[in-house]
Amino acid sequence: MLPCGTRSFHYEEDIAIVRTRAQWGMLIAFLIILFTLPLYGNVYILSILSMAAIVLIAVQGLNLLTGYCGQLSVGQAAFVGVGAYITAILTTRFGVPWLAALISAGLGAGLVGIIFGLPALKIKGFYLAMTTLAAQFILDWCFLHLREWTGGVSGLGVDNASIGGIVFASEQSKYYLIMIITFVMVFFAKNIARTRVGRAFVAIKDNDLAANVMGINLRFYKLLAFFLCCGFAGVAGSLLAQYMNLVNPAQFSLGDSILYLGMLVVGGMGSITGGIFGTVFFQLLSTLTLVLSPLLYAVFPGLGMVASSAMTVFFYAIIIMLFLIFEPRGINHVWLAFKGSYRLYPFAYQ
Amino acid sequence: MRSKIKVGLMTAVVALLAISLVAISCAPSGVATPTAPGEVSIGTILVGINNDCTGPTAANQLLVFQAMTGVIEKVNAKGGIVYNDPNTGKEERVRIAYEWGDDKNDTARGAAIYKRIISHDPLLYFSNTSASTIALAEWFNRDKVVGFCMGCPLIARYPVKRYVFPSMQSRTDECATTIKWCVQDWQSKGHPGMPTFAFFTMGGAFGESSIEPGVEAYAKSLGVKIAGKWIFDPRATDLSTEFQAMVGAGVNYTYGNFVPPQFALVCKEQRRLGLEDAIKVITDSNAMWAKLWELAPEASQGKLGNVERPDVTEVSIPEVKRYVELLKNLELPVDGIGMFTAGHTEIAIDAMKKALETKGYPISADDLVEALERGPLLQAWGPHPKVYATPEDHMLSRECAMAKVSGAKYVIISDWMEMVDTRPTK
Repeated sequence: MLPCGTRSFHYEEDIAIVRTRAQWGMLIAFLIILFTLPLYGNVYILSILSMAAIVLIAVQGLNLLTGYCGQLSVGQAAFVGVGAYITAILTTRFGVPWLAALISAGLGAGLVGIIFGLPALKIKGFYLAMTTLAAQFILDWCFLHLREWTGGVSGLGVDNASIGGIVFASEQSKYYLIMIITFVMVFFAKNIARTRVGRAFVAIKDNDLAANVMGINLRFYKLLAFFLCCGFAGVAGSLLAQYMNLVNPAQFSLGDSILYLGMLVVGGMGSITGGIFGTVFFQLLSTLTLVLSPLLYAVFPGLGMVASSAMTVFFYAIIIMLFLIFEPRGINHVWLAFKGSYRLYPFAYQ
Repeated sequence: MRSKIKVGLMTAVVALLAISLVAISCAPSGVATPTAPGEVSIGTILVGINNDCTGPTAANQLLVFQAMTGVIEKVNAKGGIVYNDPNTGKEERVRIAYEWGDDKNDTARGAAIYKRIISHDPLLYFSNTSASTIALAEWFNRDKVVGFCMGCPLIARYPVKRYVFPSMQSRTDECATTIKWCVQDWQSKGHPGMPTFAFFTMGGAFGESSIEPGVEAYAKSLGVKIAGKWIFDPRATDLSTEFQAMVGAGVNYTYGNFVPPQFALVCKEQRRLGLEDAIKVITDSNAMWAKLWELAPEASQGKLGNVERPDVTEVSIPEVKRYVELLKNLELPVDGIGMFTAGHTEIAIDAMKKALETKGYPISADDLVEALERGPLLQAWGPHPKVYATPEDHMLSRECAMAKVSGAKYVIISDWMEMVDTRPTK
């Protein structure tokens, strides 16, 4: 629903992401706050936002595949790992510049994604989920046992990213690098979603047989969805590698893959904004649980250390369950309903 | 009704997000423990702790955390670190405050906890899980925070990092030293040639941490054949396939990194299959404590382990007796893990005291590093094993011995050995 009085006279206006001056103003204000945060925010806040941004890229990739194209994947973390290891190997072993390694990580992870996406041409739903689960285990095994390349259990150290002589070593500089790339990737995802490719994805999700009959090449678009999803994951992995200065198999577990799906479900599948909501919500929740354990123990020492730590996990799980029961369409749906109501005000109705 | 629930849910979400933002911004600067009444301290030293209180290895690690914080609180109850200040010329006291987080043995969580605590300028940081240490080993050096790494992957040890001190035995060094002992044991029994060795361990970062090129190279240098690597899922219940395969490969000795539940399974399976005489299964010290003989009272008898401290029953050693009493006073299980942790915590505190007596309060990370490198360090468990660090090697535990489970304890069956150095040469 558009703000009252807003009309489109051209197709370009109709598909524009930012429509009104107010929206432009809010976007610019948000970007100013985001990019001036290192001047007044502490390292901890910057680290939370940096990690959230990295995860957001991976989640948006998954959104394109699962949310838009309807192909379920439970192996996204493994593809993030592929991107991370490609970056680590290229930069440390072959001295490839970081930017080239970033692009290679995206392309490489995308190509690996195509291989594991081939079964999607024949199977779907639960069976496809099993295939992507297999991808998670296979890639996990590779990270752990191809020691000559991956360093095995110890993993690989990664140097700080550098572009054109500028080395991104401090928390602040890494924050800027991550935010710029995240902005570009989310914009890219939004553009994919609102163009022909995105519409083809949605058609496949709604009814792949009907989409095929209409002339949409299922093979091409399904594989493209996997390529894009895993490409996004690869970029996220590359950023993660330079941020942590380390890649290690323990960073890309099945639990992380399921968490990305959880972010998508809670945020709202099938919309870019939903991916953002879900990621931010989960990252804040995760950070809250980290802070809460010592606080709970300090306030209630009788509770015991284990109970105060375990309660936070319990709390985490309850939140997810409540969402699945009462708002399975995610935070984005509630946001859209809220937006609609204030745009109709004073004529809002339920 | 349903819409009211949704509104309520969204209100809760918004409130939760707001609370999160406030909590993150206003997280406390430390858990300061009080001094004894009447004691005045001239300052506080902040210590950070990453520990997994929940998660896959929490069974061991919770005791680590409790023993560590118990020692700190005991020191504070006595008035803090008492030392002769070279600047004031008087006896002074400095409290120790600690801030901690539960990282669930997860690298990302460990990193997030570190980022939170580092903004409060800790002097010393205990990284008690392998996952955290892997992430933090470089960051300790970058941020000039002295890191005591109980989880000791190779990255914490090599190359030597100025501010990083691996306080737990190097698992690769342990494994290599065990291989050396196996050769001696094999030859002492009159067997010809060299024994056949295998890695037999549980899967995961901790379980597979001994399987490094340095160990394989050392075995090769001795002429010991490594028949293979048998890695099982920590949740497995049947190890017959692995055992039969090892028998088929002619394996004489195996080594693995276990925690008690998994090594208890290994003992029981070996007994069930009647292979106790065919293969000598050896573990590291993480499995050699009370939980093992509680879980497998019969099957664990005679099993071998590589240990770096006396058993808690060796109360003839005054230091062991002291730790037994300490753990009892803290109402913690009296076992090797608690004793080991308490010992290393006291070594860190003793080094702080030495630094304070040299430089006065406040001390910097460099002052603490010099105190640790200069030595001599507190001999936490008696004359053996010796504990020392040098500028060339920050490893704090360099001696080990072979032990055998006997009843509800383990008995040292070899001399204390200097650990084989398996660090890469370049």
